[in-house]
Amino acid sequence: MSTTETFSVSRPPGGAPKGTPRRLGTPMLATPAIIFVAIGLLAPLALMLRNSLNHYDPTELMVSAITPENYLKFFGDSFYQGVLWRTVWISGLSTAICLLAGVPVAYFLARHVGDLAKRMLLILILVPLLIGNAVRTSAWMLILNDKGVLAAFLGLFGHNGPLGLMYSSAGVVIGLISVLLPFMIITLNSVFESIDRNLEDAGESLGASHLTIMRRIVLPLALPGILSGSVLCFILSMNAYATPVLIGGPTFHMMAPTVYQQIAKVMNWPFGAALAFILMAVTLILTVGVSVLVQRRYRKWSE
Amino acid sequence: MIKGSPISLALSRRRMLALTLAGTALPALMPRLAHAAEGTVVVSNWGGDWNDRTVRFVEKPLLEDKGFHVVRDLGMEPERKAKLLSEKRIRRASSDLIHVNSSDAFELKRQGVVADLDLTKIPNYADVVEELKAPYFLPWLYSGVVIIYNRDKVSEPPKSYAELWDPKWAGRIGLTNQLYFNYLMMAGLVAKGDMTSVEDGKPLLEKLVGESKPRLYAAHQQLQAGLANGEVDIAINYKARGLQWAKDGLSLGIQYPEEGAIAVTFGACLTEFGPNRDAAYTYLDAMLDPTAMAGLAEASLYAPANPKAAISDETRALVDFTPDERARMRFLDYGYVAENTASWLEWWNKSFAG
Amino acid sequence: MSSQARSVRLAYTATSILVIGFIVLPLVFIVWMSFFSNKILSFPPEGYTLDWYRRAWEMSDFRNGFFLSLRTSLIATVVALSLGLPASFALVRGRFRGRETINTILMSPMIVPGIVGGSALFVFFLEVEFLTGWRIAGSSIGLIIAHSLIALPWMIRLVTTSLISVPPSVEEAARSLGAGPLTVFFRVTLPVIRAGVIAGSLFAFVNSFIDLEKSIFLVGPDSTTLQIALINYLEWNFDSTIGAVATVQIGLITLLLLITDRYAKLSRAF
Repeated sequence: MSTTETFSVSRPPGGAPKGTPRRLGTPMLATPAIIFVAIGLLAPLALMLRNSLNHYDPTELMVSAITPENYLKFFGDSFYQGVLWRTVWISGLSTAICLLAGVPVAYFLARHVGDLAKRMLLILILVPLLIGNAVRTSAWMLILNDKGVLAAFLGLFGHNGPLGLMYSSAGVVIGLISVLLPFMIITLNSVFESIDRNLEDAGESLGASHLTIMRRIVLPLALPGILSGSVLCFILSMNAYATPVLIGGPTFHMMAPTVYQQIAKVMNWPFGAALAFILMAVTLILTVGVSVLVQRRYRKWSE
Repeated sequence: MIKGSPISLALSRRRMLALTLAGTALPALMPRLAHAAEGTVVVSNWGGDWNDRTVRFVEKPLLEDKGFHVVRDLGMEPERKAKLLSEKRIRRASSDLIHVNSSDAFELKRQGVVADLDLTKIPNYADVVEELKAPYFLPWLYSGVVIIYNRDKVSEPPKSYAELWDPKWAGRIGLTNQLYFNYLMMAGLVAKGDMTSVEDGKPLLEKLVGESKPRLYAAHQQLQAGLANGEVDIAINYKARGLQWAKDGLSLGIQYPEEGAIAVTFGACLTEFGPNRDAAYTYLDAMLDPTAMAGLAEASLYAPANPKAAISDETRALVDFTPDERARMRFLDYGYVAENTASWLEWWNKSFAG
Repeated sequence: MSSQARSVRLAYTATSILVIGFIVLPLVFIVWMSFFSNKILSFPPEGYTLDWYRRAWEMSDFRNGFFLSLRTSLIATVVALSLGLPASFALVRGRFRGRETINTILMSPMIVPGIVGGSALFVFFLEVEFLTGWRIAGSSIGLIIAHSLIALPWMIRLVTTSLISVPPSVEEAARSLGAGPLTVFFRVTLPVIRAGVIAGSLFAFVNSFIDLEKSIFLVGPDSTTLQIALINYLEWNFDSTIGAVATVQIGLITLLLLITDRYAKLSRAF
């Protein structure tokens, strides 16, 4: 999702020649899409932003006003701040684990697998996404439960105590990475594919160990893609709803479920809207911040 | 706006254009809503088995087979409520009827999105249990929050809500998050003996959470699973659910609490701005039809709101409450609940926050 | 192959088996679970049965939900193609100021959580109805708009990735030979980025099909998506019916994927 890396990677040297007909790349081509997003997303969000400034009343529900009280409520209440913090660190952790697990698999698919096997493996990685969160978390419930599959499996080795995975951060992280890994692997795979194999072969012929090749050649070149995949996973995780609700349980509060609760259960639309914007703002700041930081370091390396 | 003035003409022309465009473009994609047929009734209901039973016992035999066309808007109740409340702004409701529980019905009435019922159009209403009636609500199936216990593990169940605080039940009680305000009421009942003492009940509830450590499940199926695999031996939930679990094979007993069970009533309301009120009234009357009620009671194990329901004595003894039990039943003070439910949810979240 | 190369390959294979196994684990369980005879979903299985499939077939909610989801996601993908292909072109080939801003705008639906986007859209539709009388909330159009918003960023993301690696020199050569811009697009560029377009369509479709949160406020009478039908079902029963539904749905779509792979090697798409 990071913007600048999309365009700074593989541009042909020297840029396009002066004679390029403008019509091929004219901004007009993007206009229908922009209008669509403006109407479908930006206008509704603007309306929601306006609502976040309204006043909530148990009897009237939403009363028109211009008040910062909903935002102040968030900043004054450590409970909701705790919810936000928990969302952030769980997203960070899930993204990190996806990265660690995704890099080897993506590299494997890019370098060590023949074409037919790769197509089948890609399908195998994508298909579980189709299950949908509702049913997938039900499956995880069965697996992670204190009396579930994993417990039975571990019982074969003599471990008989409760697992404590359901309704815990560990369980939620497991559920999240189950969804995020395919996205990470696919993103990383396309990046690895685009890295010239010759560079790695050159390193090998010079006697570098594989780890050195990865560390000094492949990963630095793949950095934009790694960033892109991580940003994607982080955002998906920050916005996660079904997994925290169904695996985390009623005592495990994360931002998106809390927004839903405010909007649909408590009917406190102003506060729900405020929470939504705080969530989006934090997600944006963190992802843009990290992207900028990484790109600044990347530019230093390539200079 | 003065009729015939330039402004009104311009607006109405624009409106006409808009409607024409809408009219040509939309029917293709909105097949059923296009014709507001005489016998079309749009119903907002829960999905899954609940809807299944509604269709099987009410909608199919009494409406669809008689020529009515039933359109269903299915979903969970928070969304359905939120949608109906939002639609107030445009003074249109996408459904004629909405299936809700009695507390939600009160809130919806207060917000002006459901109408008072014209009882002359619902002959069966006259038979309904008196305690459940309300001018804006058609009671349908009801139950109470009781003490459900595993018969194999518990020989002497707690006889009242108050007994749950006894240390011997520590770690053995299961609760469902969906019923949070029932538990608050329960604590208030134990503290002060009435249904408006949640504030007095809060410290008691904190004590329960701190000392007896009840297990909190997200949904009632998980509570069922907890009873099945021995995580908990006692569940505080609707009698109907306990009976369903027993039917599924668990060895359970039901204990009616001394204080009187906290009642829950499911039923339907007529929306204020719905399109087809006459069809809606036919539907409402059909809901209370004795044969339909009998089938529903047997299938769902909830008590029928119409005592004339044609159920066997056995079934009645199982699902319904004795007149004494019904007299002792505790009904929510809906105004009190509506006023406080938001702050209670917040308190509940914070007290149980993991 | 040298021993270092062999052990490296072994390490990668082992890790990949583990990770891919982890990803596939829920799928394996769902299919397995759909045959359990336990009345409520639990482990271990008490026996096996096909009853759940029969039950799923009888519930029209799931059948209707599947077809509605399929239809909506396909239309959303087509919308994403129509809007996203030209937009990707502008973003990659264009040299105008504000390109980054436009990219951010077009990707923004991804940042917005489904619940937020869906509820905001619903309220917005009601405002529009208030002002114009057009009834969009709860209709198929409203749902399609929402799903197109889900699909569009994915399409753009994947097509731009593909388009970037295609040097414009080929297109310029074609232009200099006299081809009009549309000809260039359809005869020169599109065949080369075909894989990217297919990848974009796949991801657009999948993400739209599995959506739950954005659709929650936007479904209306007689129109429920499959995911919502499943979660409605789960509110009352926790049994293998959902396993049966999921298995059938996944089976059908996997078939679609395999057919797509036959015509466009998926390995080139990513």
